[in-house]
Amino acid sequence: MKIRAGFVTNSSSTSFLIVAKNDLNKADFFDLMGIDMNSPIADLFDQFYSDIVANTETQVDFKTANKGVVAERWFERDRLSEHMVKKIREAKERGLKAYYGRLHSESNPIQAFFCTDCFEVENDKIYFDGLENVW
Amino acid sequence: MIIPFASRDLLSRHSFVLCLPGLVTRAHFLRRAKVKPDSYAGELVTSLHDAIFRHSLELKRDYGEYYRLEYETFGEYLKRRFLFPPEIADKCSEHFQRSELMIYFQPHFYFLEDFEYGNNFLGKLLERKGKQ
Repeated sequence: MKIRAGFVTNSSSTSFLIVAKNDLNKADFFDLMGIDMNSPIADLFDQFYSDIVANTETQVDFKTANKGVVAERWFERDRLSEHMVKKIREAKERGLKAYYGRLHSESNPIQAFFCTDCFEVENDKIYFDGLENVW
Repeated sequence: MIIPFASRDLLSRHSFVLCLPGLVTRAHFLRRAKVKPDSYAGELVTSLHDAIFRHSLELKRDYGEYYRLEYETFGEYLKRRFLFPPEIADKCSEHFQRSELMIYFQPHFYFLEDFEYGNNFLGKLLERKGKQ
């Protein structure tokens, strides 16, 4: 018989939704997160931003998107929380850009950290829903 | 001085002994990090500061107040009480007189688990460059 001492873990991914006035860019992202681009720990948020960009699966510009299509139909509906659907509908009404994607726990340690964190942040340019944390 | 090592506990987690010349206040920590206090980054850095300065064990004080009689040397205290590897306990002993605080930090921030990255990241926020 073998006895395993330690932990059994599983991997996961968590959804994120970003709604922005402008095209998503690093300067606006840093401003939203509240960190100076010259911060000594900027690399943490540099990597986070790169992971967001690389893991964006669906991007819709509601200013130019077909107005006849129900807002959430552009996305995989079963992956969206009711809160995300509400925010996507608001984005459509206001003609904003929406970015949906997933972060993965079995990637780099920085992405894994943000994947397992739970947050919602907003300023006058960007709304970021990182609430879909199932851990 | 930051001394990284793998703990010999069940999880074999990466840990650090932070040998510091004194307390870094929360306000100074936030300023060093160049983050806004009421922001996501600010909360993250505040949480890291709390984890280091509020929730971690300060080894010098712990040894001096509670274990000085039980363990003849600081190195013995580290080796026998916390199962520090001998070379790490020796290294910590070298810094005993030179450091005001010696904090045993076992981070729960996954991005600090990488030795090199974690060491570098903590160094940027904790190691004194110029006057506080």
